Formats: sequence, C-alpha cells, structure tokens
Amino acid sequence: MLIIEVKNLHKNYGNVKAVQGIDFAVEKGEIFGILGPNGAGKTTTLEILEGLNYADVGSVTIVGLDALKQTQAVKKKIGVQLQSEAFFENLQLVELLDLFASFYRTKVNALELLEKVDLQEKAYAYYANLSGGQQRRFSIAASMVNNPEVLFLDEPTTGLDPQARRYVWELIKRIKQTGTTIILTTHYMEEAQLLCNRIAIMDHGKIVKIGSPEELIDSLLARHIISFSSDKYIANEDLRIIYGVKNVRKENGTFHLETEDPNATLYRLLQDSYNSKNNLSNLDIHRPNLEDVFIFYTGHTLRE
Amino acid sequence: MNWNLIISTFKMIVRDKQTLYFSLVFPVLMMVFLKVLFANTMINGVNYIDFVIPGLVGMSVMQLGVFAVAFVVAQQKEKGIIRRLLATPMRASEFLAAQVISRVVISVMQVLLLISVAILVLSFAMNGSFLALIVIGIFGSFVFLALGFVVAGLAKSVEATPVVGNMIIFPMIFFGDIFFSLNNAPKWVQTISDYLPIKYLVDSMREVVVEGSSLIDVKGEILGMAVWLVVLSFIAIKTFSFGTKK
Repeated sequence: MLIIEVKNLHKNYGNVKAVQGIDFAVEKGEIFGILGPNGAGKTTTLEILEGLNYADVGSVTIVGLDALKQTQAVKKKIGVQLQSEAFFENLQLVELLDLFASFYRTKVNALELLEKVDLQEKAYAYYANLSGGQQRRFSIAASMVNNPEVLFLDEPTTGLDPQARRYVWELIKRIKQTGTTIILTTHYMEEAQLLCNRIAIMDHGKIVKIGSPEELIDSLLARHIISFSSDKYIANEDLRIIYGVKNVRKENGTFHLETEDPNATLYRLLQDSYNSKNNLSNLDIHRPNLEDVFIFYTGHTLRE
Repeated sequence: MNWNLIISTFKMIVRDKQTLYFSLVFPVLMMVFLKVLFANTMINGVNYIDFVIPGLVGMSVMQLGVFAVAFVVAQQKEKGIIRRLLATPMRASEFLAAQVISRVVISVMQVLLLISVAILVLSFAMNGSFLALIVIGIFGSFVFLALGFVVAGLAKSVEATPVVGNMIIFPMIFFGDIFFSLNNAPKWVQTISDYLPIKYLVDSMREVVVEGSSLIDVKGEILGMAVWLVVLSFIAIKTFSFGTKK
C-alpha cells in the first residue's frame, strides 16, 4: 500500500532550480532514503512534504491527503525531525514532550517515550544541556508524540560521532519494527545501505535512480572495481582499452577501474606495469557499493 | 485555548535569569540608588523618590513587554525553535495568545512586587488602590507587548533587535516623564511627550499611587493607551511573521 506519492514536483528559489520534476512513491512500513550530496534538493523536497514549504508545480499525497493543500491535516498524521532545529530553552524534556503533545490535542506518557530513546535519566534536564547525540534522540522522541504514521528524518545523523550515529541507527530500526513508515535523507552511503529498504539517488534537483540497495548495485554493468595507485603516469585512455574495463576514473591519485572481468583486467594490468617497470600500490578489488552506484549515475562523488 | 502552552511559556519566562534581572533586580537597585542619591530633592511638589518610583515601575513594564518579546521571538526564530513548532499543527494564534497572557500575568506580578518593595523597604507612601494600579498595569503591558511584536517584526535578526528596540525605547525613557519632569521643556517637546504610550502609563500610575486618583480620573490616559494598543496591534499584524514558507 502506498502511503506517500509524489508526482512531477518542482520548486525554484528565484533562478535556482532546487527540485526539478521528481516522482517517487513510498510503501507503508518501509524506510525510504533520499541519498544525495548537499544542495541536491533533499531538504526542500522533505519540507514541501511536511507542509513547511510551497511547491511550484506537482502533486503530493500523504496518507490519502493532498499534502499541498491539506497541510494542517497532514501535520497531524506525520512526525518531523528537521535538519537544523532546536527546542525551547528553560523547559525540561518531559515538559517539552507534554507541550508538543498538546499541539496535537493529545496526551503522552513522556517518561515512557523518553525511555524508548534511552533518555529517561535526562527527563528533567534542559535540551541545551544534552550532547549532540542525545539532542538528536530527543528530537526523534518529540517527533513521535502523536504516534505518527509517517516519520520524516532530515539527515538524522549528520554531525554525530560514529558511536552516536550507530545509536541513532538502532533507534530508527526499532521504530520501523513498530510499523511506522520512515522517510529519511542522508549523504552517508553506509547509512542508506544499512537502514533503507529503498533509496532514491538525488542530484541537482532530480532523482536519477530508485531501487533497493541490492537492485542499485546490480544495475551497474561492472561487477567489480579494481583500485590502485601508480608510481608512473598512466593515461586514462590506456586503461580504458584493457579487456573487461567499462569505466575509468581517477580520484586523488587513485585509479578506479570498473570491470566485468576482474581476472583478465588484473592480469593485463600487472603485466603492463611489469613490462614498463612501473609499481602499483594499494591494489584493491571490491564489489561495487552505493558510492560507486552514485558515481556511476551522477558522474561525481557524494562529497563533491 | 492551549493551557499547556500558556503555562509552559510562563515557566520559561520565570526561569529566564536575564528577564528576571531586567524586570525585577535592576529596577529595585535603581529605586534604592535614587532614594539614596536624591533623599531630600523635591519635584512638582512631591519627594523625588515618590515621583520616580511610578516612573520606574512603568519603565519596567515597558522593558518587559518590548525587549522580552522581541528578543525571545527573534532568538526562537534564529535557532529554529519556531520552525520546529510550525511542523506541528500548532496555530499561530495559540502561540501569540500564550505569549500575551503569560506576559501580562508576569507584568502584573512585577508591578505589585516593585510597589511592595517600594512600600516596605523605601517607605513609599501608597495613596491609591492596588486594583486601579493592576488595571493600569494590564493596559500598559498589552500596549508594550504589541510594541514588542512590532519590534520583532521590524528587526530581521537577533543582532538587529536591540538596535530597533533602543531606537524606540530611548526616546520614551527621555520624553516619558520617567526620571525627570518635562514641565520646563520647550512646548513642542511636551506635545510629543504627551502622546507617547509610556507617558500615558507613567502619568496614570503616578496619579493613582501618589494622588490616590480613581480609574475614572485617569480615563484619558487609559483611552490613550487603548488607541495605541489598536494602532500597534494593527502594525504588529502587518509586520510580524513567523517566517513560515519560502
């Protein structure tokens, strides 16, 4: 069952085309990720769905409601974590959760909710006195006061240290198990691969590919990536003609060959370098991951 | 009416040390300071301290209304607090009602506390009724809250807030009969002064506490504040926004 349907969505900020005609649909109960670099249009897309931003063209249906018109009704059904958000100072966490529940005309067991995000010990602390990871967990708790059908998480782990990040990942998995649909944005490949049932790769305001992590990886022609650095100069063209090689790119002095036949490619590569008295180092062969998928479809890395 | 939001807003104000300092500690220190400095000075036929105490109380109501609202709202906008609220079904009217109701209550408490300190510590002679004082305090508080929202609407950032706020507050402190009487000032200065909202507030408070006037006696000042309230509310509605959608 579809819980979100986005069709032909457009949004410009003056001359900047933030979102350029995207379409996607989210199934009930899945974690849907939008993966892309900063400035890809992820946040703008989410803000339109959340009723915080206008769309220029397009249609958005969330839980059967027209999300571009019935924003107030949609807000009651969804939970939202914004990318740069804060909460009232001088209110304790329990007070904040009770207050947020009042916006939905509902009551919440604040202590129980804090326990779900492992913050019961901070129940009477102020938001400003929490660590970065704790703040993020609290904001997830605040987004759940109304038992939302859909949870929007905008870069839920950006800026967190690896340990805090894993903590939030576990929390998101637990929320998914309760049947809540989650739509999240991220520019961490690992996060998308680990959490998401399906991923939309977004770049320059467009969705370039949608699929499960496995489908995305399988969609690449090349099944293997050979990476190495070379002591002597090698022209990309010389590598491209090696048997099996589908694509060549050079990044920070490291070559990446996408190949369908790793054995043949490697054999030829090593033979050539032996004959020309060259030395290859940091040699590595791996199956393509989402980073490679991203590069394949967008022509650049996630960090650019 | 969202009582949870009203009570939460009230808690936030009471727990804010800066507001506490500027609305209570600072005016009390000023009163004591002026009492020591001008113990035997007379002005307009009354003791200077009796003249200046209602002035200070009125000024405190103004500061609490204008600066507290303008700063808090600007900060909440900048930090993303307001944006997070907009992602909930909370209505703007709920937010505004909570701000106004909780701050008017705080202002009344502030007026009573300051006058009590004046009576108990500085042997200030209170000649009027507390009820009349409270009614005037409520009127003044409404006027300066509306002004606070105007400042919040005009100032586009936290940094701009004190600039815009002081541009409005300073003339009121100088021309509002707070610390000194303008009886010997040029006529045009007096004319401007007579229509300032702070003048209406301070004059009516002074008449009530010093001369024991009733609310009927100060109906002119109350009417003046009511007019300001309507005008400022209108401007506030036109200028103030939560910065909702782009």
